[in-house]
Formats: sequence, structure tokens, C-alpha cells
Amino acid sequence: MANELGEIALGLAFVFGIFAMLAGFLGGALRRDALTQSAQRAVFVVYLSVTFAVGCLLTLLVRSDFSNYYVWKFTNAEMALPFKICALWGGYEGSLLFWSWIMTGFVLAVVFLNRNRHRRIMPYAIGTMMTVASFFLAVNLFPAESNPFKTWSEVLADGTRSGIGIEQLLAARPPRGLNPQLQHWAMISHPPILYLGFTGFLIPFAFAVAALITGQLGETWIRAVRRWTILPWFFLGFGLMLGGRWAYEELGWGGYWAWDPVENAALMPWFLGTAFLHSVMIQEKKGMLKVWNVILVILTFAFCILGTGITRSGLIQSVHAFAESKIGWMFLTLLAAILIAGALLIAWRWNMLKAENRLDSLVSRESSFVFQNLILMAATLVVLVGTIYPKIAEWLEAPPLMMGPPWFNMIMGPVALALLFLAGAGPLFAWRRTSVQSLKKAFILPTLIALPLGILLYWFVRRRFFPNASFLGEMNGQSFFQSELYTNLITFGCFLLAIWLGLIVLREFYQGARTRGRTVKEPFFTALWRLTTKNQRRYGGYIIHFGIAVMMVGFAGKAFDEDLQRTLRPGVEGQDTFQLGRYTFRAKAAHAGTQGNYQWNRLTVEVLRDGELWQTVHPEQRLYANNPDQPSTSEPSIVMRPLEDIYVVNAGPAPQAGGFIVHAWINPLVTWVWIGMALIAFGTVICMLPDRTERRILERVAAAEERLHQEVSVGARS
Amino acid sequence: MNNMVKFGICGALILGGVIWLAIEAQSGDGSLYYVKVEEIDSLGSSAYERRLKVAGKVAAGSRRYEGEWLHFSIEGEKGGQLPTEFAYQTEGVLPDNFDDGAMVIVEGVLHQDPRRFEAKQIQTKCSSKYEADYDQKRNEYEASQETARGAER
Repeated sequence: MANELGEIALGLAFVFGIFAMLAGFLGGALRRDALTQSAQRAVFVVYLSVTFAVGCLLTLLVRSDFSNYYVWKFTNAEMALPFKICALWGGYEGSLLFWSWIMTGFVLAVVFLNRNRHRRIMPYAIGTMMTVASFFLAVNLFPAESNPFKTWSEVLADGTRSGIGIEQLLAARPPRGLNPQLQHWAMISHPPILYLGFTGFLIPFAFAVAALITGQLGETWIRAVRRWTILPWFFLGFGLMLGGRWAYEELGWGGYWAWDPVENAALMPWFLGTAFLHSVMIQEKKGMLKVWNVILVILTFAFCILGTGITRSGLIQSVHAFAESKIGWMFLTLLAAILIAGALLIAWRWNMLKAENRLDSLVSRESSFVFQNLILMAATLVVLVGTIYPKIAEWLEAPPLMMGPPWFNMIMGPVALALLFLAGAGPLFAWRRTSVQSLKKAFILPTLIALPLGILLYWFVRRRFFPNASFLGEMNGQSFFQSELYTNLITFGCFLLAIWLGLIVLREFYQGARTRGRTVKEPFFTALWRLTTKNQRRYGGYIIHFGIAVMMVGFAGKAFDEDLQRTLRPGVEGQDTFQLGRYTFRAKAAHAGTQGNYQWNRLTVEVLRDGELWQTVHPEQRLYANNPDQPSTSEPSIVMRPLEDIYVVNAGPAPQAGGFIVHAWINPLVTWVWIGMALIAFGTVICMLPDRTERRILERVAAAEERLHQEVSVGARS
Repeated sequence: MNNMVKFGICGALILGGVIWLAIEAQSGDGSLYYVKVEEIDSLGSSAYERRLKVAGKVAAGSRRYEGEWLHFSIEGEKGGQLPTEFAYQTEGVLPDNFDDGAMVIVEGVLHQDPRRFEAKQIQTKCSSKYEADYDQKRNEYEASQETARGAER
């Protein structure tokens, strides 16, 4: 029953989605408020219908109703309830439904919060949002392969073996359950948060399209979308980092980022969203970069769709990519439509997008934003080319090259340094132009402090992890960019600029709070709090910059990681230890057992530091007999410390050799990646705090718009 | 000089710098050839000069353990065999579904005299590939049913 009801609800959502789209566009074109209100109500119905469909699928999952093909594929009766719920987004069909649910939820929130605002552009924004939402609902509803409510009898009816009972089916092939690697706390939260990012960028895109259609390209749409951009930008970045945390804790390869196409697909819109969040300030302050901002918003959303397209179309043969299907090509068609429609709209409104001012100087705050934008665009281009290069090579009939992680790292090193520099330099530059005198004054102190601190940090880390290696390294016939010297220079530069940026941010807070404290006679910390909460965009942004600096220190630490793999025989003298850096790993014992739907073997490994017992860890390997796709997982033991993580993997018994294969890593400074992530989250919360000044401006703009709308409506009626 | 020209030059320098870096970085370990077993010969001598990622199937009965080394052969769908060695105790972890007939992607370097592939990494399938294709699942299922019916008969 839930299968049928879910399918009906999805169908209903699609029909009302199309209605809302048409009513939105017609309401805008004919300036008929009644039509726009109908569109708003239809959005509500769409959201309710999709929510109902999600409820139906959840019911099927929780009740382990294996007559549903999706439930059979991704759950089994033994799975814990939270993981049964997570299976909602654990597979492709369910994740698409979940995606539509989040997207329509966003649309409903936008419609509700702007029900009395932006009356000219809202109908078109609704039309655009519902066009995309209807596309997603159609993809979920029509191709059989993406329908989450497909039953086993439907699966077999289109083959030749109808009449096989579900009991026989289940006896022949029991449900396998969610991939064990996905049964992890970060994986529970990572996809929904990432989807919040991907779908959230629909809102700024829809407002940009509506602004282009109506020609209202002033500050209205920019102000309307700013918060709606920060939110998905944060979710996308946070989702990426949670994915990294999952990879680190669950995949057992000692790292958190591999430049895989799936990761890159989410990184590209994040880069573009970052560029937009900065360049939008130039439009607000100076009335410049109007074309650029519209292009960035359209590209950001287009790249969200591109990510889905390239990973599902089979265009990129990544081992991480989804199964090749025609769904991917549907997404690539949507992408083409977005880009063509965007380009046509921009060409149509070209004259209205002219800048009100020009850039006065190369050394100014707005210039630093422009350069930051250029670098982020270049970084996006690099990631795009690196991701789709195998296809480009195929088209060009060039040798079948693919870009590996070292390629991305070599290019992204200088890009990261340039971005760190600009993040620090931006606040030091004045608007319009900066005099050499003020530049000296602003730069000298943080630079003089950062330089020795940077050298000290680099020296300390190097001495701790690579005490015997030379800074210059050996070239070994490699090019400069593949040499140790290049890596060392980038790492040092990263430490130096991260400290420099951190100092500048701290100085901004200190000076701001001191000035405020003196002016309004407040104690320092009260002034600091009020300064931050009354200028939340600026100071929230600084906290985010500080978080980025901290995170970059963590990323740079990866240059000093070391690892070693050996076969150890627990308790056998001389064959039970190996040495890595200052640590000795000694296998003391091995245990085996069964729990739930898996068998485990666990090693007890003593970690000695400088010969003294420091920690005892228990890395585990789990074997899932029922899951041929993922027969085992490793549960690494990670000892997290501020200076280094000790990461130990039990790779299982060594075939024929006896003993266990143990792989250990020393990962310096990784903890700072997660601390940076938390700081970015905190900064984003500050940015999102209610802003009274902003609200007053929005109310003023809304009142002016309302007056204009009434006048036009009266004029149209008479 | 007009400011827009100055910005244009700076923009071109940034873009040019990144493109130059991208070209420089693709040499050596920066990039690797990704080929099927049967396509290796088409790379000529360059197959020995760069890291390779090779896709193929583990040949039945080819796996042999010798000390720290695992020797096996990968075969292509359209023929071709690649003798492969992997330091399974010290270099990397063998995937659990590594078995006769398993589809694998091995990454490493090709050696001459004797011609052999030294794998540094072996992958079978990734967890983010949530599922195999729907038709394949159905076919598998039907095949298992066919077997069950055969057994009943």
C-alpha cells in the first residue's frame, strides 16, 4: 500500500510542480497577483506531497517491507533503526527523493519568507525554482531505474519470470543491507548536509533569473539572496569536510581527500559560491561586477548540476562514480538548458548590467576581491579539467591520461597561498585606492610577527617529523614542481601565510573592540561581543577566514605524514613489532568474534613512544558474509592529538604468511583541519545572526516595491 | 595605462600561470595512463615511463604467493595478459573481494625484461558506488532463480 501511495504522492507533486511553474511565470508576465498566490499555494502542496512520499518510503524501510526493491537493496531486517532511516539517502533512488524533499522545502521557505516582498521578481523566482524541482520529480518518477517505490513484482513483470513469489525471492537472495562502510556517523550526516548545499544554490540562481527577466538588477535581488547563498555555501563546505572525516575514519587509507571526481564535483560549486559571496560585496558597495555576479550565480548552480551529471552519466569512469545510466544525460541536458538560458538572459539585459563605477586602482579592497575571484575561477577550471581530462583526451584522441592527486596538489598549493594572502591583505586595503604609506603601516607589524613565528612553526614540525631530511631535498631528475624543495616551499608558505592571516584577523578584532570600548565606554570583552554581533557579516567573515587559516595548517601538515605496512605475528618475539618515526608498534594479541551481521578480528597493538608504552589501540577488521559488494571494512584506531594522529589499520590475516598485516600512519596536524571546520561553522552562525540594519533596509526596499507594485496594478486595471 | 588594461594583464597572468603550472604538473607522477589490459601495447615505450592504472580481470588460477609477493595475471575482455606482482605485506592492502575473475584496477609501474607490472595499489569497487546497475541486478537475480529451479528439478 505504501508503495502505491508514495508513487501517487510523487505524481501529485509533479503535477502541482508543473502548475506552480506555469502559474509563477504567467503571474509574473501578466502581473496577476491571483496567479502568483496560486503558485505559492501549489508550492505548499508540492512540499506536502513530497513529504508524504518520503514518509511512505521511510515506513517501508522501517518496517523492512522487502516487497519494495529499494528496501531490499539497501536494508536488511537486522539493521539498527537509525541506519534503516539513513537508507533513505543510502541509495540512488532514495537519495533523489530526499534531494527533491530538501529542494522543495527550501522553495517553500523562500516563498513563505518573501510572501509580502519582492512582488515583481518572486513570481519568476517561483517559476524557475519549480521548473528545476519538477525536473527532479520527473527524474524520480518516470525512469524505472530511479523510482524508489518500485516493487519486486514490477521488477520481474518487465522481465520474463512473473509469478515468482517474494518469499522464494528472499530465500534465494536475502536482503544485503546498507553498505557497511556507509554505516558511520559522518555518513549519516554527510549526504543530507551536502544536499542542503547543492539544492540551496537553487535559490540565488532563481532570484538571478527572475532579476534578469524583470530587469530589476539593482540591489534588491542581491540583498534577497545573500543569506540564501551563505547557507548552502556553508552546508556544501561542511558536507565536504564531513565526507573527508568519514573517509578518514572509515576507509582506512590514512587520508581524507583524494581528488576523486565525486569530491571534485562538490568542491567546484563551493569555489564559485565563495567567489560570489565576496564579489557581491563589490556590487553592494560600488555598483560594480553586476555581470560577473550574475554569471557566478548561474555557474554555481550549473556546477551543482554538472556534478550530478558527470558522476551519473558514465562520462567519467571513476571507480567512485555511480553506475552509468541515462539519468546522467538527463542532468547534463538540464545543465545545457541552464547555461543557454542564462547566457541568453545576460545578453538580453547586457545594457542594464553595466557597472556604475570603475576600478580605480590595482591596490584596493575591491581589486583584492577581483583577484580572489579570478583565482577561484582558475581553481575551478583546474579542478574541472583535471576531473574530465580522461574524456577530453578521448575526444582529442590524445594518450589516455588521467590526473592523479599529485597533479591537483601541485597546482592547488600556490592557489591556496595566493588565496591566504588575499584573505589577509583584503581588510588591510582601503576601498578605491590604498596609499603606500598606509600599506606599510598595515602590513609591517603582522608581517614582522608572522615571519619568525612561521619559521619557528615550520622548524618545529620539521624537526619533530623529518629531523634528518634536507630542506632542499634531492631533485632525482624530477622537475622543480615535483621536487621536495617545491613541497617544502609550499608547506612553509602555507604556515607563514596562515599565521599572518590569523594575526591580521586577531588585530581587526582587537582594534575594533578597543575603539568601540573607548567610544561607548564599554569593557573590552563587552565591546568585542557587541562589535561582532552588530557587524556580524564582517566579523563572522573574519572568523571564517581564521578557520580557513587553521584548516590550512592542518592541510599543510599532510606533507609530513609517514606510513609503514608490515606483517606482525602477535606475541612472537622479533616478529611482532615495527618502528615508524619515534613510535614502535607492537602486536600483543589477536581476538576474533561475531557481532550482529558481521564477524570481527581485533588486534591489540601497543604503541610505544621513544621506547615507553604510550597507548594501546585495537584496530579491527569486520567481515560481512552477506555483502558481496563490501565483504569487509576496516575500523582503524586513531589516536588524535594536537600535533599528530597515530592511525593504525588492521588489514586482516596475511594470506599464507601467517600473522596480521598492520598499516600505521603518523599524520601531523590533522586535528587542526577539524578545528578549522568548527571555526568556519561558528563564523557562519555569526554571519547568519539576525541583522537589524539589514532588516530595516529590506523593509524599506519592500515598502518601495509595494508602492510601485500597487501603482502598476492600478494602472493596469484602469 | 588604463586600469582595465592593467587588470586584464593581471588576470591573464593569473590564468596563464595556472595553465603553465597545470602543464608542468602533468609530467612525472602528476598524471598517469588509465588503460585496459589490451590497450597497454598501444602506448608504446611511454608505458614504461609513467605510472599506469590498468583495468582488467584476475585470471583464474593465476594467484601465487611467494614470500612478501603475490603474483597474478590480469586479463582483458578482448584478450591480452599482464603478469602482475604486488608486495601485499608491505605495499598495500589486498581488497577482500580480490579473487579469481574479480574486476580490478591496479595502479603501479610497468617493467621490462621480464615484462611485468608492479602494482602499488589494487582496487576492486568503491562504496560510494551505491549499487550496480539495475538490469544487472535483475539478471543476477533471475540467474539465481534459474539455478534454484534447476536444483528443484
